[in-house]
Amino acid sequence: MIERLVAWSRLTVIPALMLLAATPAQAALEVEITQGVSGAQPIAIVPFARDASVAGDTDIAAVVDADLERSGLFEPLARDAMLETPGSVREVDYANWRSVEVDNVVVGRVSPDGRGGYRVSFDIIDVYKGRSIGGYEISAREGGLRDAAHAVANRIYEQFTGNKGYFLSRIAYVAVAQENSGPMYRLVVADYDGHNPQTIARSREPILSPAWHPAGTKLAYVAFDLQRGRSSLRIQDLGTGEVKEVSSRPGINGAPAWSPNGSKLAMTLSYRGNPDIYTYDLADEQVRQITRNGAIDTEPSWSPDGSHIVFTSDRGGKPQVYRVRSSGGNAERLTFDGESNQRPSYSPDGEKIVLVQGGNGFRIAVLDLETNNMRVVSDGPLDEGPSFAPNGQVIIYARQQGNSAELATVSADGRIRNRLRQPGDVREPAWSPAGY
Amino acid sequence: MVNRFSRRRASWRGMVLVLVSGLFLAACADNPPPGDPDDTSEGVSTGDGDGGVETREINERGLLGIDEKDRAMFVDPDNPLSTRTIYFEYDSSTIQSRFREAIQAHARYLADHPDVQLRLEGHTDERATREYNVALGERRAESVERALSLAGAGSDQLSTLSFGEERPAELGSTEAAYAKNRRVELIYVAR
Repeated sequence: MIERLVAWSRLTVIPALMLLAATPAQAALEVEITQGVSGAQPIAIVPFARDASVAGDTDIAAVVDADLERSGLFEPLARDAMLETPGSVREVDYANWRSVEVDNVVVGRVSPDGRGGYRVSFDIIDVYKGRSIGGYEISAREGGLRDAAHAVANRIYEQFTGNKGYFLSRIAYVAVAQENSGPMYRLVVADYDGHNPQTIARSREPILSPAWHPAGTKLAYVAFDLQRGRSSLRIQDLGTGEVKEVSSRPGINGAPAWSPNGSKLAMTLSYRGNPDIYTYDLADEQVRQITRNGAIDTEPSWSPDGSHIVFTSDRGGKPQVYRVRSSGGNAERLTFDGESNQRPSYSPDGEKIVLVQGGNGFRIAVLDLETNNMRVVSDGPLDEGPSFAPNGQVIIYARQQGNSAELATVSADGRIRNRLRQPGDVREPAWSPAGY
Repeated sequence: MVNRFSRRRASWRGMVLVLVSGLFLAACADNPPPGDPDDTSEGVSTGDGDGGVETREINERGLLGIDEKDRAMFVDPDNPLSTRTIYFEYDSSTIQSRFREAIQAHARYLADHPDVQLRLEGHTDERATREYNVALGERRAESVERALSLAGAGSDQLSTLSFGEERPAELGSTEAAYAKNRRVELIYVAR
């Protein structure tokens, strides 16, 4: 009973009213910073100058401010504290910025590129050196100024942290609304900050476990078909909207995870009598059994080099995290701290694993594979579904509370926290790859 | 099967009409199953904390595969066939002895009615992760499947489907709600 909705890339050109008819109003997530870090970098993003012919009302500097502030690593100066609003490096009076103790100022301008799009140029200025330390230009298509602003924020973030920014990435999540006739499950794809949400599938039956293709072009997920009495593992192309059913065997068809090169899916199947990890080759459509154990084996995730799969197993009694070669073989237990550890996934550099630790409640924890040190980074009591940002610096997860759930982010070191709120029940976030 | 499908489609059409016209309009079934005159639930568990919904849902959707003349047995509280939800302890798929009589009764009914199909739908409470819970719900369903099979039901009459924690019978994070959610529902499906 899953309905395929209009391909999302086409949604942008559909008039707003038709879009509403196709996808019932989906409120955007609202971001609230709940815990920042002391010693964040002071910076001033001056409102960008814009030529009169630039259409739309996207306030580029405001989007950049929000991105940088949300990262917790920057402390953008409020606009009303700015003594001047220069539109270019030449117009900057450095004394004005030294007096408000800002080390760095970003000035920029938006102008038409003569081909229907825009040129966004900006400079990152070092107030104490008294000069620009980097001038950049970004082209944006019509209607693309919000993305251009995220690209500006990515550049600034990388300049000061040395890490790639993640402000152009996207998230997929499942939203559940209680309607008169029962729950309605929606699979939603949105910008990382919750803007621009698009419903890509909806169903009266549960939708589970969205997983991004490494190129960010497709999602694998689990749906249910009560007519057939089966669960169904599907791949949906985000560009064309095309849906392919990969497995609908008796028993479990669940927990999809893409191999790093996108050629295979790891998944949990139970048609041979017990939940085990299998890999499915998308080219020849063959499945291969990776684990063979009388216990529950599920929640596979590939190492970034594709050599290993980590997964949850209760073969030792309680659920713990194990690792096996992606070609199969003996599994090795990785977690020993905590009553239970589940749903592991690798950081993009392969050095850490984020997971859900159970004990007194359920919390997100990060296991350093080098040192075996486990760091709990969330408060519980019912946190789940963690996923690393493409740059490995931030983790998104879901917080369940009574009858609803919300999404939250935390820096990998546990210091910076944000909440992404939306009315209703939001869960199962998956952070897209790349997006630099 | 055909029956259920047409009901579902009718309900969707009803929903669209409600949206379009702005009128309150109950979703009418084209072809309501016998003994089910005013069904508007379309077999969806609303999980709204109303225990009555759970009962209604398992009595309607769960008995579609049972001949009309036999249905009274399945709702008679003095008949062990009226027990059609098997409850479990936390993180366990062991069937408690208090359900032995019900399992025997259902197995006997299945053995006597080889055309009847029973789907075992496994569920968990909200603790632990979602896919682990899908596996745990599957294991519970398989455990009931095995018990029924040992007691004489044909293996081709039985199937399993796990929803994990996704379709709670009762919302909320209390022990009482959790206990109601750790369950296998016996759903007699229409052929």
